[in-house]
Amino acid sequence: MKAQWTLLAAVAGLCGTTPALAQAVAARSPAIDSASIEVPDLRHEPGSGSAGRYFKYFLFHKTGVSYADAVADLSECYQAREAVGVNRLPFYAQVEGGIDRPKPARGTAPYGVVGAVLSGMIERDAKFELRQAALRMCMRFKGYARFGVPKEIWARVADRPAAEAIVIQAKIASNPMPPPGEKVKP
Amino acid sequence: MNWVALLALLLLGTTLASAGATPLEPTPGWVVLRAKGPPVQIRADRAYLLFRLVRSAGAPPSAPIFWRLPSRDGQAEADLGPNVFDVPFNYLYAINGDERVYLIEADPGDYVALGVHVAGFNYVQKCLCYGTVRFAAKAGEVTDLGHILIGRVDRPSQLPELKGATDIAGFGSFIIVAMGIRPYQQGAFLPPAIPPAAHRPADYRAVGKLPPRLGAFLDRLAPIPGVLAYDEDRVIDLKIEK
Repeated sequence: MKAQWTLLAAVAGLCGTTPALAQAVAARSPAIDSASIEVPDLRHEPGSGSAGRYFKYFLFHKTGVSYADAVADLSECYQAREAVGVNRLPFYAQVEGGIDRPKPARGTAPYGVVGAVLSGMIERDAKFELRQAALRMCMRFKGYARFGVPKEIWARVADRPAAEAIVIQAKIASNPMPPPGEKVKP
Repeated sequence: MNWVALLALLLLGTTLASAGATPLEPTPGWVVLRAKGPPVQIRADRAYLLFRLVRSAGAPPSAPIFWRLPSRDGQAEADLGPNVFDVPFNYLYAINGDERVYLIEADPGDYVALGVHVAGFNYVQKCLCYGTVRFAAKAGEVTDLGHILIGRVDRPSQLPELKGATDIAGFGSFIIVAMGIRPYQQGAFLPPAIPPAAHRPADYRAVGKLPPRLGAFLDRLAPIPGVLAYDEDRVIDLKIEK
């Protein structure tokens, strides 16, 4: 039993921020000073974004959170965002987090040719949706509210290298006032 | 891409595949038993998992995914075959009202309730990577997992256990489900073929965060009174922390 808990503790530790991203973020916020971080203009006409797209384009806010904590939270959630995977069942997964090559037991096209082709399309084209969903759920569990914004506003903030996007989003998230945008379900 | 058309086509593909009735090839260490098969013989060297699946109104056909934790050297285990399995939605063992009853013959070991997927998506659609439970499945025993509860994340659920895990925003093109567990309670339906002497309720324990690479959508199991709770994103093992 003890050995098993040790394994599970190792699993739990895998979700921490990886050194590479943490260092990249730290380089941009050496003294956790957000004063020099420039936030793009977030103003937009209310309702100018497509509500149906708010599952993709959003910003976060948490009352009372510090900039440093927001950076840490976003860094962790960006790790999850980048790591999500599509693993065909059944497969072998090590406790340490690695996943061996999937070993299908149902043949090459268990759901027919149409299903196989569409599965491939989903894997290719839905990557962005999957990543945004991962970010959203991760931040939700950390207690952040979500504000839907038009794609253009989101792009100004987040369509850039992760280290840059994280510090700007952290400044917005830790601002005393929430960002302009429609507060939407988590 | 027209996602509505895409989903429609995917459903069509799944339907066609089902109509083709391609039988599942046996997977080492994971045999989903069916009532129309031979009578269940509880083998002394095999473990058995029993659960009842209940869906909220409007929830699509969905199935849980389990991960048997390796107990030995990783490569040696890997050579034995897969250890992450789903339960084909249509491969039920019995039905009791709105409960679909499943029985699986599996390798003994420690299992994690890893995720859930909508039938037809043969990958880990949703990983319960932000909190779930594990349990031991012992040889010669039928480990009763209780009820596995499924609801759409973007709709309210009439199942009280799923409150807080459902009625959140949707995920655009994807139909995503939430999962909860109601541990075995005295009086729950038991298939007559299950020998009472071999029947054991699962002893659930909370499990912390899992690697996000295990799944496409990341979520967590709904809280379980006395077993699993959360403080924001911190997983609380209620059998240790009161």
